[in-house]
Amino acid sequence: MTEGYVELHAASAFSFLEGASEPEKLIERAVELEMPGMALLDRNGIYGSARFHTSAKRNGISAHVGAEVSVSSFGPRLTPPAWLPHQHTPAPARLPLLCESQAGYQNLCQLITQFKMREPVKSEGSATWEDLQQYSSGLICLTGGDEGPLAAALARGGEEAGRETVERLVRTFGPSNVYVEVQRHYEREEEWRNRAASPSRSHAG
Amino acid sequence: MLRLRPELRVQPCVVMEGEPPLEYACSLNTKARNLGIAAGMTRVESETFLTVSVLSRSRIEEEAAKAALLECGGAFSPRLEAGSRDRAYFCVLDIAGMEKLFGPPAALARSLLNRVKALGIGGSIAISSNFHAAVCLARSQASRMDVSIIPHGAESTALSPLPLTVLDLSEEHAETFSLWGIRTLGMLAALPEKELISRLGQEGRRLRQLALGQRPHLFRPLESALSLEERIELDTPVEQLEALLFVVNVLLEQLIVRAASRTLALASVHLALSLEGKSSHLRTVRPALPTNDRPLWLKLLQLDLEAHPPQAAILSLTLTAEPGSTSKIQLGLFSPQLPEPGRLDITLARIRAIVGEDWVGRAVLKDTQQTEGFRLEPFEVPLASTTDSRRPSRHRVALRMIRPPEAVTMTVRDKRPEAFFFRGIRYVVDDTYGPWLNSGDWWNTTVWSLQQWDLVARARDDTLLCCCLLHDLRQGSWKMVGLYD
Repeated sequence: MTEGYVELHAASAFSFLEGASEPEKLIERAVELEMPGMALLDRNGIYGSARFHTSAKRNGISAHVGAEVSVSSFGPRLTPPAWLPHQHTPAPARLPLLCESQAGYQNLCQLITQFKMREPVKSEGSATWEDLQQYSSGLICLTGGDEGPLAAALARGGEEAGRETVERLVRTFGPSNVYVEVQRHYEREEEWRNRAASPSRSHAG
Repeated sequence: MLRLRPELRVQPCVVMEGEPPLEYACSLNTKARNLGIAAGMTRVESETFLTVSVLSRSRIEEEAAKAALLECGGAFSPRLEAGSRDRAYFCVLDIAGMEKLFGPPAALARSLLNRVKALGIGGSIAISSNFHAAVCLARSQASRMDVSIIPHGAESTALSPLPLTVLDLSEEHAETFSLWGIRTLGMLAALPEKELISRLGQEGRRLRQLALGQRPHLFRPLESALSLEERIELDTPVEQLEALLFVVNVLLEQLIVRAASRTLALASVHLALSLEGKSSHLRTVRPALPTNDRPLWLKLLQLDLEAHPPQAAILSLTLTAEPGSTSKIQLGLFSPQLPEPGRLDITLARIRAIVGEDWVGRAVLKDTQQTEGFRLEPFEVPLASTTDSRRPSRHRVALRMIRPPEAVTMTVRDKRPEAFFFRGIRYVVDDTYGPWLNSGDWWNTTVWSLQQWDLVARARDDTLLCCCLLHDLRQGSWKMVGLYD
């Protein structure tokens, strides 16, 4: 029914204020849509992965493990324009990471543990560029949506800054492990980003 | 009572207390006293004097006058104590240490008296190092509107010619002293203390100390909160706006004098009118900046009342003001020049009277994606610190909104616009961008769902039209909402 589409950037209720569905409900919906696989990328943790994986196994779907990791080196995430009434507090951009192998899973867990051990206040920690370089093997990196580093760079410095960000990611994760994420919710800003990101995609390989 | 009726100050006036027909004169001015009217006369007796204006006592107006007097005293000393004796109200100021600010006590008293006169209140001022001596002396010359100073140590000499009535004697003691032939404070002070105590008890000692100006007093300063409220009950019901504004003018003057004495300005004025038939009419006027400009306030109130006239004759009115800072707002050197605040307020009030209360202000976005998702807020003068720091980063396309949106007839192929009629001209779509989806209130009966399209279209005569259209998915209608430059 989804014609081979696999959702690789879903958030569960463990990402407070960004997801509302429990991991089992996500799998239930994937079964309804006849989706062959699905990835769960919760914010700064793999809290829902165990329940997600168990439910997926029971339903014969491939569950992919991953997480959105806050990285301070990319600067603040995209914020709404100041004239809009609904604002949110500044936060670092988040990088969606998927585990490709067991080593990748170990690296993702260590990366999260490392920056969580450093954080002064709960849920305010973020990884650095050095952390990413240390634990990059076995991980697949997406450029993210609104919360991602590519959207922030495009808004900050246009296509030039976007290209630099993608190249930086390619240098860290390898040319075959970085994918430009294209989402289409029929929004003007998102469509502009998709068009701006298209040339970057060729650089990413 | 005469404070809010300046036109009556030059006439003989009597204030009546009690329930009709048992009313009696409780207060009167010097001109009435000169005519031969005395306190305690009935209304019928007073009205035999043809030129006399007879007023009814109003506790509310008295309270307002007391508040005004305290306000006035508070400008000269932070410590003041108030009381009332025999229908007279007094306020005692602790002026120790005030010389550096207001000069010698005599200069302070003079400027205080001028301030009290400006409020339209009659009274006298006495300065003494003894609390009770000052009160007694001030009471004895209440009608003289004068300042008297008792030098330190000369209290008994200054008080000796005063009659015993300044002491608030009980009837029993007054009779006793009358029998003894004691009529002045000096005569009372001359009585031997022990013998007086043996006959009158400790009360005798207290009275003797008062007569000598030696009675100690524990000062209990008032903590007065600033309350800018004036109330007046009209003698006859008023229907004409001009007549009402005449009274409002007097009340406003009082409020402004009181606010200005604290270096404040009026930020907003609430007008409460009691109408015939026990109804009331409330109005609030709030200019963009606090101001003490009385003509401006009067004009704003006039425009407001013209736009919202009361439905019945007015019996009384209360004017309450909120104080605000008088400080000027420093605008940026390169920020656009704003019109003068007073003129802006009057212009806004006039526009408001024409287009309606809710249609004047600045547009503020609501937390919604709806196309008309904004509300109006009153204008505010922006602070220098909130200047727009947004950089004019990229070139932006100007969109001219069409309000209200105009209906267009659309031909669709494969769910995409192909051609449409707009203002009688047929356009063929060259290029489409979209759709951009928008929906909301799906949890409500007012659910809405829209598709937005940006189109580049061409007319038969090759005229190019870049426009933005809305497709209402629930109603199936198409509307032109804006044109791109």
